[in-house]
Amino acid sequence: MIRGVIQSSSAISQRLIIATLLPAVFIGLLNTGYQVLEALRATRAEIVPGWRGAVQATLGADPGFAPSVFFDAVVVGALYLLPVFLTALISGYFWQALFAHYRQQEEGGLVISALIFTLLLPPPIPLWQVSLGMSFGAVFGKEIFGGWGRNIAHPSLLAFAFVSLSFPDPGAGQAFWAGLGDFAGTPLIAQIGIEGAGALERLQQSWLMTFAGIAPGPLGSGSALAAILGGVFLIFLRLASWRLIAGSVASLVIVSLIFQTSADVTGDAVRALPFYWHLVLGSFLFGVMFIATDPSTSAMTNAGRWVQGLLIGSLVICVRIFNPDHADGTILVLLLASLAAPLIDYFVVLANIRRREKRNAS
Amino acid sequence: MTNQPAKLFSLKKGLRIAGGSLPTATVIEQSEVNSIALLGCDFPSLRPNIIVSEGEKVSVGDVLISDRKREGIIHRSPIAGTVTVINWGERRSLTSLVIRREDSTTPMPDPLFEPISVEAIRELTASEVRARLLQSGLWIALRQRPFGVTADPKGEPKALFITATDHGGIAGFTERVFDGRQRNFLAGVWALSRMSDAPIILCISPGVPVPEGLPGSVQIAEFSGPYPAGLPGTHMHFLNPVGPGICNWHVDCQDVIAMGLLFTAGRIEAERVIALTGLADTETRLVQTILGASLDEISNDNPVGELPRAGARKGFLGRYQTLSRLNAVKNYGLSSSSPMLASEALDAAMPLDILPAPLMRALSIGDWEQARRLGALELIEEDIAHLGELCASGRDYGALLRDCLSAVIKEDGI
Repeated sequence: MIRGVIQSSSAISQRLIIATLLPAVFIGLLNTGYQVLEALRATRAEIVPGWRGAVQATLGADPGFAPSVFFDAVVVGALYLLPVFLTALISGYFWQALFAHYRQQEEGGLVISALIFTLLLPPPIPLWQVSLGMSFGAVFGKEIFGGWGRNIAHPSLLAFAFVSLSFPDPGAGQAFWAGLGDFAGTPLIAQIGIEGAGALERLQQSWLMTFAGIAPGPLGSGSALAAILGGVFLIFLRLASWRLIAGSVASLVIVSLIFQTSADVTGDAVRALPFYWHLVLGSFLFGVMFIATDPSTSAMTNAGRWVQGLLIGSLVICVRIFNPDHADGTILVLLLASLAAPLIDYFVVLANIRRREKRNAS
Repeated sequence: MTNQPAKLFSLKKGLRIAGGSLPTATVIEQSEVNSIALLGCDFPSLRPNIIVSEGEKVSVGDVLISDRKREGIIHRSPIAGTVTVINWGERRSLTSLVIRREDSTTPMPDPLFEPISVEAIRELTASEVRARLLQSGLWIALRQRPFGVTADPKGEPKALFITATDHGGIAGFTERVFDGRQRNFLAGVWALSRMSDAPIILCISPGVPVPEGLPGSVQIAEFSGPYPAGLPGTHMHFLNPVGPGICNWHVDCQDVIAMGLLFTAGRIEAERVIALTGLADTETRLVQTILGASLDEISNDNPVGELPRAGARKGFLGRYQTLSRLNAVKNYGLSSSSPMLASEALDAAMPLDILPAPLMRALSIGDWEQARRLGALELIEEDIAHLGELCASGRDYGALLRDCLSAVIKEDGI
């Protein structure tokens, strides 16, 4: 009954989805701050460069911020996450208000898409890119289709794809990180692709830390723990499809096991990674839980949800192994999967219609 | 004669709506009401020839309406009183006809028909049974699927379903209804078994005692589970599905009891037991009242809401309604600016092999052809009423389905 009430009100369900994202936000703050302070410690710098340093200095009188101090890490993390989120929110709001004004129709879903977009981005992203990306996502991922619930791809997904395909040069963020030594926030999965499995040892990265989300990577979508915490809640409320999630995870495990058997022949580090590493690397679990399950851009039949899930998990492994340019692969695969959803549903519906025709004919 | 053991259907999917089981102490209350109504939305195929006029006095059993299209189908008045209002709908259809009781102590009229012994019922011919049902006005209790319209007096169903399940998940409802009325029920089933050669399928809830002495041809099926496990549309889907050119009939067990009385006592029984839920004291009540009774009067002026259905109910009990929920949650409309979100909750609420989200989408964009291919012919309003409660769009999918069915009737006939 409670679940039914939630289903029937988009206002309540949107607030609940934001609540399920909070663990990811919190771990994202902690991790971003931790990574930045670690990099500072390595260069013996004591203060974050640029305006953030000024804010940091006013907050803590002495510049003795340490990565091991919980509060310090969260504050520094917020200095990176908040501007990005506010930029995304304002850009999205501008377009939403513009369309709402001319269409005379109210809309929702902005906070969710701005938040998910923020969490997917790398910490050193310039704010003008955030604004451009969010504008593209809001207009082409939502508004031109008539608003939230009628779109064919998730706005955050389109926004992120736009940014990562338009500004693929990591140098775009490089100047931003000047003064932070060799730390460029390169996601773990990309470093493994470049350096081989030795990257994990060099960075002293354990599986448990990666699972919790304490690893170089995006602003907040890297934590498998936070994704599971939020995801369980979403599944319980039937706001997310457990079939889609189970299908994605199962196919990721199976396909990675299949490729692992040929890892010795090719000597490919990503191929040799065991499935439990693939599960926690990149934005995979976050993307599956919060983006793939969006009801308006995923399959609308139970059979279709299974198929879409299988597609997501297997394609993520394929992209990770065969396309080092997109080290994580999750976002592009999710985009492809949501565009494939109507086709998947078409065949499920066709099978249902055939079954009925056959029954009526007998 | 013994019947074959019951087939069991334990449905997991569905939506729990009304409140659980009845308190054991619940007794059936008598409710005297002063106004009743005939609602056009209960009879979608009716082309009414309204014989009475506003202000006219009628007595119990007077013919109010006959069907212009299908000869023999008549609607009789369940009470004596004055016709106060006749609301016409589009193109000379009926919206509602309200009768106000004049004399609350109406004497029981003489038997309209000659009483027949139980043994003699078993020897009746099909045309004799049909003639009496038609004349008494009780024929309208038989409905035809696809479309949920009054059965064709000249037609033959593929199967006849008797619904004796606990509607709305109120456990114990049917048992109370049967209590002391089993002989009349048996007589009704025997009469129906003489009416056509079609197999009769009695659908009950587990735990309801099956009356002894049913005709041997009656098949029994037990259905348990949340809404819509108790609905004839669900029973047909699993036992004898309908489709283009394949039609079933169905009748509620209380109408079968009334048919039994019609044959054994010769009188027209207009009283029915209904369940009222969602009252202030949150207890489910069983009320014995008259067909089409004013819900305001039954519920002592509680604010009345209904499961969404086509047309305005305006606070009267529907002809086929046995459950009234007084705590309506939402307002529904035909169009809505909110989108439909195809969540997994919709699939979890649909026990039939029908894809809810594609069907709802086809209905909301008016794609009747696709809706029909997706199984709309198997359904009527009540079968998908609960899906609207799970949908953020606020659309009345039952009303949209009725539009679809009307369009199909217009094109292909019934």
